[in-house]
Amino acid sequence: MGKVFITCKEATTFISQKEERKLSLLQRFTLWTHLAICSVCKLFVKQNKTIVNNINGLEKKLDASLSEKEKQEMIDRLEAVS
Amino acid sequence: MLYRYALPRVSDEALAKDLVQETFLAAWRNVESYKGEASEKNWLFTILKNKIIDHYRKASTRLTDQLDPLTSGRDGFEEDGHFMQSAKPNDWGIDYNSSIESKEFYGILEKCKGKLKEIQNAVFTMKYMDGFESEEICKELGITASNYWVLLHRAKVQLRNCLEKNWFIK
Repeated sequence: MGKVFITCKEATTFISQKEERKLSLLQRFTLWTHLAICSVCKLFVKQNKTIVNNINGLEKKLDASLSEKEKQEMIDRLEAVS
Repeated sequence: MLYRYALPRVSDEALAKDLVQETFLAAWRNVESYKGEASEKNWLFTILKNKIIDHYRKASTRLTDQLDPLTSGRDGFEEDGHFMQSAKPNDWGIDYNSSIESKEFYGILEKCKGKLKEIQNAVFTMKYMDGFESEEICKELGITASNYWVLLHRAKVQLRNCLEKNWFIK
């Protein structure tokens, strides 16, 4: 029988694991108990979700682009090998 | 377009530029094999995506040793398993359920992503930006399920810490 109370370090690994596969009954129970009393790990769950939910389509939000000079350099290099 | 796609996936401007250049070169060399089945744009994107995965694969071959198990290394935790004071999550004071509009947030997110180890960044990007299944990621990168899992978890912990330090400054 494992222990009922887990540390924040263990809790965060369970939180990550949960996204990948089902936790064991004991793991679910200990995580649930931990989250009921630990506001810090509860924040970790929310913030983790915020990050992974917002990362999709990151390129559209950054609109990075090459300068005209960089584009011309690429064309020159292409012409050099063709 | 291609550059904008590549940059947040490799988190390195020079490398993203090289990949785009290589994409054009490869397209030029294989122009004969282009059958017009996909649009030119989609064809170029397909080449670029393969180049990016090749880059990830190279990063994973450098990961020769087995990673330390999660129980070793600190990752922002004290030895007794409590958060270190410096890495303890603070409330960001936002609505966590709504999408974030701030451009600055995404700029910092991208920079923080760039601070991850290459292989961590690769696993994280494939999983959350490109929606690969975990089995596919392990297969493509030639890593074990437990390595994959450790890499992804560390990437998430580090990204969160970095974002909080640089964006949600109290």
